[in-house]
Amino acid sequence: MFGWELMCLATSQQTTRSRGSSPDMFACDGRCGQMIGFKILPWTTTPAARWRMSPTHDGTLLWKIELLPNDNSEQLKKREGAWNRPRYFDTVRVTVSLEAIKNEYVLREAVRRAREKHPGSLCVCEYLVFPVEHQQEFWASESGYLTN
Amino acid sequence: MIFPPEVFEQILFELPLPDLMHAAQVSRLFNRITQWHLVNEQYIKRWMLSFQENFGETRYIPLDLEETRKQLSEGNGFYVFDAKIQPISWVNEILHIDVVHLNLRVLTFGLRFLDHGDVKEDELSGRITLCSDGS
Repeated sequence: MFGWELMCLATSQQTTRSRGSSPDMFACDGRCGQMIGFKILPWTTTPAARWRMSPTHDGTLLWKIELLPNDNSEQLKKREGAWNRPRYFDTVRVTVSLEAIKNEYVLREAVRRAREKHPGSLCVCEYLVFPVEHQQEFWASESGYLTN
Repeated sequence: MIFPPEVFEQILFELPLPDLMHAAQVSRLFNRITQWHLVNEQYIKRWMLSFQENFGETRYIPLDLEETRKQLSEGNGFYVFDAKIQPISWVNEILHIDVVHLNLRVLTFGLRFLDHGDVKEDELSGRITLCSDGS
């Protein structure tokens, strides 16, 4: 599948997406079937939010991740020098819908089946078989590399 | 022999989420009980997210009952999990730049949903680390 190959190729590349978009995810890191994977890039500013809309219900949130700055971040900024302007955060808030939770179980079952079918493969991401809407709207879109 | 609904409520209460969802398809009564359990604090407070920072230690984030209650009462149907992580500043992180490859350090996080059926008993007995203590 071209899409998965593209995702694998992209694992060594940096991406400029930092906020307000679906997170990046590596497909071949051996952690298929994971509910949400995301990376925080050095230029991410807080508070930041990343989210994914529901593939089945228009205008409905599927999940959202918020990075919240800690209370004493202003003090810490002063301590390290104002010009550095470090961005501190210490809270990750995850809001999930029941649909997102169900999707994870669908993915998990797909991973289990793929591992049974391909016991010798360390990474079974490319063998995952699940409903098309999950592949296109939930899983693949998380990569940030595929567009539908 | 017909059991009163309370018996089914108790039975379904013991089911992890995937089984509960299957049970909801059995009958209208089961579906009603399922819908009730999905907003029942006693049921959903068993839920957790596993949280892995930078492919390292896995910790477990309990449900934020207060915030979830608020979301559910507003009819949004969202469940909220809050995690305190180690404070992160890119001034610290930038020290980890790999000069040879000029790879900026990227923090990678992985989240998984866990119902009580997904967490092994021995983990529940004290080996898990909850994130809510800010550690």
